[in-house]
Amino acid sequence: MENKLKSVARRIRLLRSWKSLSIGLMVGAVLALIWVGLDYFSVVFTEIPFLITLVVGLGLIGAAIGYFRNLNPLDVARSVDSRAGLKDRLVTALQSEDDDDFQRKVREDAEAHLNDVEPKKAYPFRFGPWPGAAFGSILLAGAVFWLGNSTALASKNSPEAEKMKEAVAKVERVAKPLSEVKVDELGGKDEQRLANELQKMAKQLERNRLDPEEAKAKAEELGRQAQELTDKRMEQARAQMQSMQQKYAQEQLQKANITPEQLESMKLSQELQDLMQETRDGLDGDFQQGEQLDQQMLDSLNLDQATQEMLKMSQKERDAMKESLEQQINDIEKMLEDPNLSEQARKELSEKMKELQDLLSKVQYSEEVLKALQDLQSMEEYQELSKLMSEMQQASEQMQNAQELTDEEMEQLKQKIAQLEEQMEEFAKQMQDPEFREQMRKQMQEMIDAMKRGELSAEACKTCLGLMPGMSMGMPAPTPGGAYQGEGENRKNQDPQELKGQTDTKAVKGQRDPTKGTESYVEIKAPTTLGTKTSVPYDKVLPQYKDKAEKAMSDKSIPKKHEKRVKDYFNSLGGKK
Amino acid sequence: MSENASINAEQEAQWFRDTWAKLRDEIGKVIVGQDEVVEGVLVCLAANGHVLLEGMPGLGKTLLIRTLSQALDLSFSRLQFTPDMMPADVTGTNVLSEDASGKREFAFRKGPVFAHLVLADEINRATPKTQSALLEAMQERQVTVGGAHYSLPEPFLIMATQNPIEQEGTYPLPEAQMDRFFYKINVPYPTKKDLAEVVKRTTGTVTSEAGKVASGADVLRARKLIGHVKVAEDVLNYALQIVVATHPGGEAAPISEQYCRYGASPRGAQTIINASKVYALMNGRFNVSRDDVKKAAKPALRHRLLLNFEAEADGIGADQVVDGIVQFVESQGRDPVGA
Repeated sequence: MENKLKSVARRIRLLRSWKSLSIGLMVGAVLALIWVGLDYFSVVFTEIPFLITLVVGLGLIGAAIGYFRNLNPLDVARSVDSRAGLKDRLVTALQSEDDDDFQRKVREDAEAHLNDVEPKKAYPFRFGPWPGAAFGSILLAGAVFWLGNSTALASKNSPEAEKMKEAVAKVERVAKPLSEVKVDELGGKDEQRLANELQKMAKQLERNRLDPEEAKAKAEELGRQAQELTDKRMEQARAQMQSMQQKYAQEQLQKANITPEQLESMKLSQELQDLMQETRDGLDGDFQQGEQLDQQMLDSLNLDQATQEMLKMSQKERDAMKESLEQQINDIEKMLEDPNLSEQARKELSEKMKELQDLLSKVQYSEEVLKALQDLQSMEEYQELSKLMSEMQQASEQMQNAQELTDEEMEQLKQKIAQLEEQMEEFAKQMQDPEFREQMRKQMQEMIDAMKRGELSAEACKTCLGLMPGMSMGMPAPTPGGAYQGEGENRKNQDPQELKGQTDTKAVKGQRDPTKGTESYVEIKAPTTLGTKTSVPYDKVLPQYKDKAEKAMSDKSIPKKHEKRVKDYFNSLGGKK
Repeated sequence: MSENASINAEQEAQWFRDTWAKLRDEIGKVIVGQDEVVEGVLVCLAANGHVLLEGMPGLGKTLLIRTLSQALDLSFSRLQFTPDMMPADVTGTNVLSEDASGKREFAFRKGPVFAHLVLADEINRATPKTQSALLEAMQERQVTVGGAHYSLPEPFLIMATQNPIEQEGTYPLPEAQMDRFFYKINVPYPTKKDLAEVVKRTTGTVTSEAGKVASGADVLRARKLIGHVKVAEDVLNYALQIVVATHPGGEAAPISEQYCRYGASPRGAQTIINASKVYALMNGRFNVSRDDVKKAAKPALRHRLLLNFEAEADGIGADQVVDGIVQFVESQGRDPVGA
């Protein structure tokens, strides 16, 4: 009897599995129906594969539960008694523990009747209420989904459908990378929210659920939000870069034992600037023929304009300046040899000569500075970094103008940027390498020693400190104060009266003087994630996508009286019409 | 070896089935239709219970028990209850008698209850005092008169009848006495077809008589046999659920809560199980099924339920309440394997 019951039990498991499968399918279908309902009202958007996975998945789970759920032999006996009309013979045979002839007959009778039971007949697969409910729910969910996606009803070859398809593809192209933005300390939630909105809009366009007027209003709102987000992210990026620059520069200064007071004393004097101007005037036209220094590097040093120009002087100009200064010094020396010279005049001439000597040493220093900068330019690491920055900016610009790029090209660009980012990170790691840093430190120490020995000016020192991009402190260039070059002892002049140069504050810490020079920067258009990932600059791309989407819609159903309004609106977005 | 083990279940069950089939067939020769009534009476006979028949006059109640006595070759007596009937008229009494030597002494003269089969016709017309005279006979199978106990013959079956109409001048049976009836069977009017047959048989020249097909010993043997029929726990629980569902305030069915003042006593549960065993044997089974219980429920419980005024006002009878209870209990059970 036990064996027979086992065979029946297997059948029961199958049947129970069928029933549970139906229940699972029905539950899945009900959930799908809810989902489809939400989709219908554009609360969420869903796709057929998701719905199928949901329904089938729950169905399979139900089937597994139904099959493997515990099955008691006594329950099987009860069920068989009930299903096969065995009049409780099996239950009595199993439950009664007497040992008499009646009990034996009960057992025999039960076995005889059980043998006559055909599991397939007693437990037939029926399309009962549960499968019916499951089937009905699936049909209902499918119908609602189908009705909610009217493009299924529209002709696929109609021009409106084609345009709509294009518009959807473009909006999705913007939305997809945005949705991949990671949430980090800079934010990312806003980007994702915007991406979701864009995707929602794309879905609505795709499913023809968006009224043109509504689409217009929504596009306007999204465009505004995108612009705000762009501004916000750019501001954040700038602030962060400045912060990083300052931090790094301070670290380097501390390691180089350079105090802020020492930096304060480094400033190009007014006299030298005047002299430079005179020299230029005298040379008349040769000024532009100076040494070719990387403007980006000069910008990163945050030097004032006069200093930059002096560094750009040609050798000819520099020689002319030196000759002029030496001539003036000689003239003064001759004048000082005159015994009839009054004490007052002698004193003034002496001071004037000192100033001229100072200026001469400045010009001589500039040669040192120039040499240091040239050395810097020739450094492999610097060249690599410059190249990376340049490529990154180029890629960023390409991304900004990428509205006409294909998906494939966009993907290549993204990969390239990601590659560049990796290289940047590699360089940053290299900078953290103790050996590399030691090498840098030695170079700086040599420069400082040279400065102390009077062989290198403070300007040159500052130049060295600004070797690396991002080290610029944005501090005013000080007047050289006490470093003399030439014979005799070096004397540091700390007397403020002797600091003839005027401090020309052109910038404050952390901010670039907008009136002078240029600034090296990588424009990272928001939304973006610094350091790890870049994405499509949607502020550039979005308006045009919206423009085309709107055009596609207007071709279809925008009333004539609204056409001008629509056109004006998209013109107002700033995108190219 | 125990007594139980000595029974050949197959043979005994077969004998029972054959004997009861013969009895039914024999009674059927006289009683036209009324199959359920006949079957109910035979169940009571096998289960050692008394039966209360309720039906209109002239439906063959007396004929039924007389035919049964003929078929079993057992003594039969009839008591026609009237309001002036005294207990002694039922049980018998001590009378002063004189023997041949002239010696006088009281001797017990047995009443009509001293028969194997007793028909207590229109029992509700007798006074409660007289009705109560049957209590001891029904339960203890003995009669006590003048301090002496007199055993009743075995098998002993009382078949009482009562008329559902003409309630004026009647004395409804007290609950204690009602409870002692194993079954209460409603005797319906015969169908037109059955009536035609009845008329033909009783108005012609040929009269049908039942022959002896079994004996009192057979009845006793059958009573022993039904004790061996197996009842599964599930089936027993099913029967108990039905009985318990009649008890208002407990685990009653909603219909019992609404219409019952009092539910069935433990005798009700005993009756259902015993009757079910008889049904099982009659159907050739060695075990009781739920169907047997269901079949026994109505005749076993209908006279044990005391309905309230609301039931009377709503025209709800005991049978409807029992049906409702059975439905309620059935609805509690689910497919245990969930297939």
